[in-house]
Amino acid sequence: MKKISLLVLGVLTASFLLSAPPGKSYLKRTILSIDSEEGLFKYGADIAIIDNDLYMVENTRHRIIDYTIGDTSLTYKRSVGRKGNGPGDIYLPIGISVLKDVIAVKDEIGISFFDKSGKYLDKFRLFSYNISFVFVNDHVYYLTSNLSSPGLIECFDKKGKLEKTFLKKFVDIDMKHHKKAPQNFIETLFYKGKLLSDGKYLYYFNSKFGKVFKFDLDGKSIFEKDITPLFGENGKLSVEKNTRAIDNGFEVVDGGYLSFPIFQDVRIYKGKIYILDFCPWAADDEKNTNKTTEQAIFVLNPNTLDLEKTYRIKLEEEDRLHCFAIREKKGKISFYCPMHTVDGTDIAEFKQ
Amino acid sequence: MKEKDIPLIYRISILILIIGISMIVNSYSCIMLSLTGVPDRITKNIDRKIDKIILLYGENLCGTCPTGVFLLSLKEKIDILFIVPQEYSQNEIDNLKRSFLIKSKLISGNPETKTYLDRLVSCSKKNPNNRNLYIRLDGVKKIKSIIAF
Repeated sequence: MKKISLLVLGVLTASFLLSAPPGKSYLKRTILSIDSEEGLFKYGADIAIIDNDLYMVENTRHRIIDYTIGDTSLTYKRSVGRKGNGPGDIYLPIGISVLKDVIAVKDEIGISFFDKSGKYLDKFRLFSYNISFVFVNDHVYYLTSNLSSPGLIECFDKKGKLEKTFLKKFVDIDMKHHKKAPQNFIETLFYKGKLLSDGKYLYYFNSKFGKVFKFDLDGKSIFEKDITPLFGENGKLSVEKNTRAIDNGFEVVDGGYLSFPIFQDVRIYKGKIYILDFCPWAADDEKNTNKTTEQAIFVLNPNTLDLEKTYRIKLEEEDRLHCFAIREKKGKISFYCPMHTVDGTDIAEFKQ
Repeated sequence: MKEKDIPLIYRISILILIIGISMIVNSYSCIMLSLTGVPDRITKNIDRKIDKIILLYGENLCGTCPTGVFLLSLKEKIDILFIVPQEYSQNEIDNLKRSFLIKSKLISGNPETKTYLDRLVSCSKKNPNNRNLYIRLDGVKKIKSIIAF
């Protein structure tokens, strides 16, 4: 009788464990120590990885920091770029995109190219606001709101020659509701998102309305989908608020325009799309009921945008993640994120 | 030993010399501006309808920052001569025109234009980091006012 009870208990336990949501797992966090003072940074605007090198965009110090990734530490190798606007200089960099061994950096002035050892290759100036960009197939695809063009995505060759423009602006904005700011600025708020490529296709993930557009590299549309349901009730509410802002204008809080993204960052890695969801940071506001203690990374199929897996990250106190890079080590995925913690700014590795 | 007094005439001469040197040093840019005049690169491109010159040698020519917002306020105007640094490629000039809807004439400068800009900034006592200048011309194409932006 005792044996039967144990067997039943065992079966029930096994069935309970097997019925847990498939693919859901919490990631282990390691704050990577940085071995030298030169490698410390104040604000990591963007991050990328080539092989064993991690490149961190440090906006306020006008440089890209190159580290070698270790198991629990980062070894400072070099700083790429210096403040200025000449060849090899960068000024307030905000984004990075890597293609093979070439690093493309977007700063206030334009796009600069470096090889992976930090050697300057080329640059060209761009003047319209950068929402996101990706360097692929020796071309820069640039997501922007340019008043002279109905297209949102501009494609430049490596010398800055505009080759094509595509994806018609899809938000009907009546500027009489947005009198306090210039039109191109208001447009950038609605078209915020991420442009990325797997080398064959181009994806634009819009973070305000949950729309995803897929193109081939010639700009021919493959599909358009809505991924808002992925983000549950919070995602739906954010899209509703942003939709209301089209006709009512944005609420201005502390001089900033209040809009509601549904995700923070998107990456493509080895045939999968990874989305870091939006974390309503509320550590400073005790009354905010949206305060959350975890952030999720969704893994999507690039052909269908169906959810394949969810990774979950536990947040502690003032942790915030806004961008990430991915690396596979011994068959296991690791995520590298610059993050704000109670101790300052660090780079954390999250792994299975 | 009693020191020998310097005669009054020498004292006055030295004072005048010092004042003169400081005046020349302080007004060197303005003196050179009046001596050299406006570079040919600019004068040859000022036609009858142009009554403003905009020198865009500063940083931060981004679409949504104050400089960009100001440039966008000038869209569709045809009475301005825009001048950008010599280093700008034709692609970059095209990108600039598209981003700020520039319909006026836009040319790239040369070393004389840069020197002219440096002297204008210095002579008009503008912040040397402020290298975007908006120059209004009068009826005879002389400088009426300079605004740094």
